[in-house]
Amino acid sequence: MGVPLGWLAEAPASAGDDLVSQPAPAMRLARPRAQTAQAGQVARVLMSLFVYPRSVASWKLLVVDDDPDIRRIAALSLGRLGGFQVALASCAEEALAEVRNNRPDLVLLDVTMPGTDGPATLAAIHALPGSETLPVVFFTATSSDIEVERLRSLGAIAVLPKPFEVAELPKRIRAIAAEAGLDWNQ
Amino acid sequence: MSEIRDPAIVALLAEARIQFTAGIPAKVADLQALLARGAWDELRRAAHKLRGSTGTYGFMELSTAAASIEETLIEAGSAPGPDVQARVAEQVKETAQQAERVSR
Repeated sequence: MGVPLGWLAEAPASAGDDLVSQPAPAMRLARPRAQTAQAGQVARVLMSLFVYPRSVASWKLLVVDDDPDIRRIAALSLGRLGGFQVALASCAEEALAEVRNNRPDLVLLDVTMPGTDGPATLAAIHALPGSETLPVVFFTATSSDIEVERLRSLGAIAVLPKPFEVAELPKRIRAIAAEAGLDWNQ
Repeated sequence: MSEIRDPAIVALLAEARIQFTAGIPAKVADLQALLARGAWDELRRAAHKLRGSTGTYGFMELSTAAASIEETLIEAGSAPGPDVQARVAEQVKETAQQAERVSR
């Protein structure tokens, strides 16, 4: 599948795989750091929900899903609505190329993909030099707590359910980042 | 999508939904073809995908119908017996009916 990849500040009317790419500023996330004060963590989550991060547009999210309909709606949600820069990949190979070449700040990764599935893709991403701690969030249509726990144990910082609410997805991502101690404002 | 007030984004989402809806019959046809072939693992994966995408685009009843196929096949494993196969056939039929409603 010839998916034009690239970082997006906004999705145009034809949002989806045919999104116009924009060059990304050189911006990296601060590494996750241990949160010892529970109150601080709660405050971070609340801040993420009510305060729009000033530099959110500089955050690069990579959405990996073999379903073009999901890529399209995720790009609209996270790009147009959430203000993130969004890149799209339809398979593990494209995802790895994006991680190598464009250094996303967070990866939103589908679990069920043909060929290399989500868990194997996560392992491959974390095996890349410099990407060992790259935050990965799985998203999957599962209602099984056991499956969610299994996915977390593979190294994902969170598991988001599908279906997802378009209006809520950016907020969920910010909340997850805050819970994980990722610094949105650097 | 109810909380989104920006008309431009609402329009983009509406367009995306129209295009998604147009593709639903083909996705259901895939389910039916996999059922006919007895390709149970592939059918489970296709139902899983349909569950996620239809729900995200706001077709909750169709999502629920697809989820029932997936859940039946997860429970049955990779070689479902005749009873399960018959149940899955009914669930695919129900999913097709739901799809027809949303595609009208």
